[in-house]
Order: sequence, then structure tokens, then C-alpha cells
Amino acid sequence: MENSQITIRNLKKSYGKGDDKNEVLKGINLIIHPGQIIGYIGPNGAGKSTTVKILCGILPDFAGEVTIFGKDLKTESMEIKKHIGYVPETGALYDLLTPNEYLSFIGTLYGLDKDKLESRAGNLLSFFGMEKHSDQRMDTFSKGMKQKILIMAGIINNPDIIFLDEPLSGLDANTVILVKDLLIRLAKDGKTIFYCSHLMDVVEKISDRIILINNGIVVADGTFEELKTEKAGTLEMLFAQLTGRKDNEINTENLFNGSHKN
Amino acid sequence: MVQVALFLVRLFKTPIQWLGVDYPQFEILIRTKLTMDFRSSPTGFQISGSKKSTLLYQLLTFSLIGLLFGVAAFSVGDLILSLTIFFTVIMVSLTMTVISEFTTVLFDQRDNYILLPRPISNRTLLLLRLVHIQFYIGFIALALSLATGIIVAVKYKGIIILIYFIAIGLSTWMTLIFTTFIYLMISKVVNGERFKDLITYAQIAIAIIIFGSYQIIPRLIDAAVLKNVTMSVHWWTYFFPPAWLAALVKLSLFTPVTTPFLLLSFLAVFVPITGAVFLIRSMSKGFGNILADGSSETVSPKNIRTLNTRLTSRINKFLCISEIEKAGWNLAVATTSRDRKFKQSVYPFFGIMIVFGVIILKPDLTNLAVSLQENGELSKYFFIVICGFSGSTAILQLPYTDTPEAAWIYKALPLKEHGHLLTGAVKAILFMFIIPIYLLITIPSILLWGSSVFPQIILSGLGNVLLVLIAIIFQKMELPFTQVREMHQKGTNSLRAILNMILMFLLVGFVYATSFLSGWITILICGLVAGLIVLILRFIRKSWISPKGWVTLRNIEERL
Repeated sequence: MENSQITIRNLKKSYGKGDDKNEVLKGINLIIHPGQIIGYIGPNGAGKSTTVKILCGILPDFAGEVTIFGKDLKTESMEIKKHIGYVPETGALYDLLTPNEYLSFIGTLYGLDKDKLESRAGNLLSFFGMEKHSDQRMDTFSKGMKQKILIMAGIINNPDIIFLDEPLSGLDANTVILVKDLLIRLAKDGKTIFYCSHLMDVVEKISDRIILINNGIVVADGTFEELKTEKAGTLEMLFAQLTGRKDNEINTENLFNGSHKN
Repeated sequence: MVQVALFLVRLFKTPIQWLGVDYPQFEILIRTKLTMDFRSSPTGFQISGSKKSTLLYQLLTFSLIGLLFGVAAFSVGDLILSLTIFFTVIMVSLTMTVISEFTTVLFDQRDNYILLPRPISNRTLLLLRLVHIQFYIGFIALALSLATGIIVAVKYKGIIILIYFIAIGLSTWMTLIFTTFIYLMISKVVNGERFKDLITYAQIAIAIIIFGSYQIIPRLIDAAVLKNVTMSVHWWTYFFPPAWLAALVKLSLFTPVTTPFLLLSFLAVFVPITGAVFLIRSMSKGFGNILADGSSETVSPKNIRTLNTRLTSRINKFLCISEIEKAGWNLAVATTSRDRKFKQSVYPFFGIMIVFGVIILKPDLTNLAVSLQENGELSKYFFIVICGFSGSTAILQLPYTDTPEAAWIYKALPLKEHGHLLTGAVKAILFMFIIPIYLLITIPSILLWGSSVFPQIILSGLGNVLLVLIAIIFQKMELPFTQVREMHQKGTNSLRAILNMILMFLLVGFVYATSFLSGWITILICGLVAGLIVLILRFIRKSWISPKGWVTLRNIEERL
């Protein structure tokens, strides 16, 4: 508990009521320390994005207890939000703006002064090789370019915790390397990285700690080395083992021997 | 335009801060929203005309309508009564616009992932949405009140014109906070998904109440008396916002006023301010919860009932001429029956049409059947036509969606006959909204007015379909679900509904005229109209594949 940056106790979240009730998180317990890179993985619908949305204050209605920086998320979310960053899964940005306008907009929401904002935006645009596009409207950008802007917007306030939901989606190989290096460097500076992804090899390489959830509960939690020795040789194999999809090859065969062929 | 809006916002900096709103955040938010509104979106299916010309078109047409309102209101002798009537018209028109066009904007959840993770308070978010909408309905109100403003300025001179426009501003603000207050009260009783469902019905209810009262109250007053009457203050006047605003404008003439009028003027200023304070400070948490509820994509999985789809897909075999047209039909049926925003834009008009129907028929509840039978010829044909007309509003909403990017499929598929998709979707909407209405009214109409009205019922139905198709051609309607619901378009939709209504009045006259002809001749006319419908549908299908057609799909390639 000591020195913990995020403490989650019995976190539950459900949607709907009565017969339509869908319990997405069934009691998550986690303690996360500063400077960790957490790879938060799980199959589609396991509850990864829901966890992140709760921790970022997007979903204020949940059961259980969450404290971030020692503050209760339910009552002090505004204070918490000032020190966190979020890179969403969906390409959610105002793409009729230019990168400069958008970063300036996001920075102002965090109360950054103009000079600091310009300097940070300039550095980030330069880091991602986007300076020459800084005054072009983003609606003409490719998915990868928009993803870079989302990452920049997620860290422009120099947050202490960064939540990333599939941050590498749409990025080219060079940018993936760049982002991986960036995340490692941020963690070295004491930032906590909470990172959801389906790219097992990336998670395996950069995470200090891997948390695997399935059906709303944590089914594995530890470093890759700890988990590997217990269960399987690669994270992909471990994932398949713990989430019940060991028969992928059989399914593919069935598809091609069955209706798809007809 | 954005700079003008920001200048006005800055005038209210201190009161905004009193509301507990973070002003720097608020200013950058409103600046960003308005900047985006005025940048044309590069959709592949380009909207006709620029945003500036759209606003100019709205300004001119609303001003013309406002002129009619003004002339009608100022035919009354007493200034305060004239202004009360005028402000009532303005507030009702604005309420209807807010309900049908801006409810979706108020509770828009599309930018949840941009705004909710940032340290923005619910108060700031609520005020942002209110001011953003205020900008657009304020523009509509300004256009509607321009002509009357000139009449007032010429007739009374002095400071009155300034106070008059302040009163117009207050009327839009009161309309907005009143509607939002009702929505937030409902959200206190029900939460989440249920609220989203209920809001559609609440829209219908508010539309019926507001529009019904607006239509019925003047009918209780003898028009001849109005010309010479002066307004006296009763207890209920203190609950009637248009009277407050009228009293405020009258005050600026510096003529001797009585205490009740002073009190009414005080209410005109006091209520919008305290209403805003109460709404922002006490109810913004509920607003934040409504927005947050929409951030969950993992709602309970539900199996959609396919019964209705099966029924409509059986029928489309008879009504659609190609497989692509059937695909357009199926897409429209599936999407419109599940899209809340579509329902929110369409259903209130059904409420209004019910009120219209009741007003036209003026039923006497003590002797319903006899009173309905004794209705004049014109009113019964008016009723028959107007019932089917409500379906046309649904057609107008067909191009709009929250996910216009999904339209890439139209280009990616090996398709040439895109027009078939549009006609298929139009046929589906007509089938879903106009045919059930006519099935519903045919039997009671024949029972009440005899079988002789049957040809007119058929003609009304076909006439309504014809009007819709003409509107599609003149408005150059885009393919289904390809246009983003943009702010600047909102006023245009209301305007189009009004213009279509004018066409509907012509149809009423035509149907009424046929009642003097033999039934067989009316049936023959029906046949001709049906033939015309077939030809127009063919024209729409052709226009979409012809290079001379009103829209081509070339721009979508840029998006792919």
C-alpha cells in the first residue's frame, strides 16, 4: 500500500438492469506503484477499456473504491484529472482543427500558460516528425497521423499517470519504436504507464508488469518472467491459455472446410 | 461570426465566473466549437452551398416569416398585447426548434473521450452546451424579430429598439433553460438508457403541450375584441414569460407604468438570471451523469427482434424494383428504428400533427361523433392531408447520421446505381410512417364522413408522397446516412419543414377542390399522381448515376 499511486479495491461495473444487466467488471483489486509500465491485456469485452474509462473519470458511476494519488476518485476526480493523461482507443479528436490548434486547446483545458504550451507542443510535434503538418487541418490526416496527435494530447500536460488504450493502432513500424521508447523514457522519469493493447509482443517487451483480465476479473498479474515460467513460453501462448482460445487453429480449419468454401 | 460571438461571451465574463464556471476553459471551449462549426467538413457527399450562404438563406427566410408574425401581432391596438402575442410566437417557435433540432446537441456524447478525461467541471460543460445552442437559436430569433424590430423602431423611436433586442435575447435564453430544466428533472427520476428512451417521449409531450397551448389559447379569445382591447394583468400573467418581456419593452417608452407592469418587467430580467444560476449551480451534476452514461459502448447485448424486419423485407419485394433498392430499404428500416437521434428529430412532429388535427376538427367531447361529422368540408380534408404530412419530416432526416464515415461502403462496393439506395430508403420511410397513418385514419374517416371521402384519402396519401419526392429533388437530398448532423444546418431543417408545410396547404386546397368532382375523376387523378410518382422515382434513380445528376460520389475517393 505504501507508495501506491493507484489503489483499486473490489472495482465493479455493470451496464443495464434486471435481465439486461451485463456485469463487465466483477471485482478488480490492484495496487500500482509510480514508474511502472503496466500492460493491461485481455480478450475483447474483458473489461479493459471500461477499467481505463473509470480510472480516467469518464465513467463516474461504479462500485468499489479507487484512489489515485491518495485521493478518492468519486469525490476528487477534478483534482486527479489535472495530473493524468489519456489516449483513447477511438480516434476521438476535433479533426477540423490543426494539430497546433488542437494541442493548444487541450493544453488550455489543463491551465497551461501560452509559453509553456507552445514549447511543449513544438517539442512533441518535432519528436513525432509532424512539424510540417502543424498548421494543416487534421481531417486530411491518415489514421496513424491522428494517432500521433492523440498521444501528444495525452501527454501535453506532463501527467504523472498516462492511460493508453491501444495507442499503437494505425502507427507505422518506425513510430511504434518511437512510442515504445517514449513510454520507457517516461516511466524512467517516474511516470506510471497504464497500457491496454492486443499487441502481445509489444506488451511483453516494454511492460514491467502484466495484468491479464478475462470476464471482468484478474486472471494473471506479474512480470512476464514470473508468468512465463508458470504457464507458457510467450505472452501470446499465455494469453490463449488463460482466456480459453486454445483451439484457434481448429476454428480456422473449420471455417475453410465449412461454409466459407461453398 | 466567431469573433462576434466571443465578444458577446466576454461581456458576460464576470457573471459566468459567478456561476462557478472556469472562464478560460469556457472561452477556449466555445471558441473551438464555433470555429469547427464554421469550417466546412470535407464529407464526400458535399452539402449544397457554403455555410455562410446557408446562414444567409436562413436569415432571409426567417426574417420573412418574422415579418408575417410581426404584421399579425401588430394588428392588435395595444402595444403590450401586441408584444405579448409576438413574444409568445417567438418563444413557441424557438421551443419547438430546441426540442426537435437541438436536444441531440445538448446531450451530444460524441466528444466524451476528448472532454471528460480533462479537468472540466460539469458546470463548465453545461454552460458550454447552453451557450453554443444559444448562439444558433439566438440567430434564428434575431432573424424572426428583425422585421418587428423595424416596425417598433419606426413607430415608437428611442431606446425601445435596444430593449426590444435585449428582450429577444432573454426570450431565447429563457426558452433554452426552461427546456433544459425539464430534461434534467426527468433525468433525476430515470437514469441512463431509460432516460435516453424517455427523452423522445418527453419531446413529444413538450411539443404537444407547448404547441397545443399556443394554438388553443388564442382561439378562446375573440379576434374582433383584440383590436380594441388593452391588456390587464391577472394573477396568471405573472407566470406568462411573454408578458414579462412585453412589459420590459414597454418600460423603455418611459410612459407612466403601474406597479404590476414594473413587477412583470422585473421578472423578465430576474427569472433568466436566477434560472441560469439554479440550473448551472444545482443541476449540472445530473447533466454530467447523462453525458457519462453515453461513454459506455459495452451496454447489455440485446438480440434485436427481427419480426418487423421480416415483415418489411417481405413487403419490399413488391415495392422495390432492384436488389440495390431493397438493400436501401433494409438499411433505412434497420437504422431508423434503432437510431435515437433520428427518433428525437422526427417524433415531436407527430405530436404537433396530432395537435393540428385536433385543432382543425375542434371536437366537442360531450358529443364527439356528431361534432366530428358536422365539420366543414375544408377542415376534414385538412385533417386527412396533415396526418400523412408528418411522415415527410422523417424523410428530411434520412441523410443524417453520427457516422458519415461509414458511407465509404457506397463507393467501395461495385455499385453504379446509387440512386436506387436513396429511393429504396425513401420507400421504406414512406411505408413505415405514411401508410400506417392512412390505414389508421381511413376506417374512422369513412365511418364519420361516408365512403365518398375515400378517393380524397387516397389522393391525400399520394399527394403527400408526391410532395416528399418534389422536396427531395429541390433540396437535392443526399444518400441515406451520409451527412453529419451539423450545427449550422439545424435552422435549415426547421425552415425546410415550414416550406414543406406551405406546399402541404396547396395540397389541402387541391384535395378540397377534387371533392367537387365525381369520385371516378378523383380516382383518375390518383392514377395520374401515382404515375407521376413512378416517373419521379425513376428520375431520382437516374439522377444519381448520371453525370448531370445533382450529386456525384467523386469526393468520397479523397476520404478512402
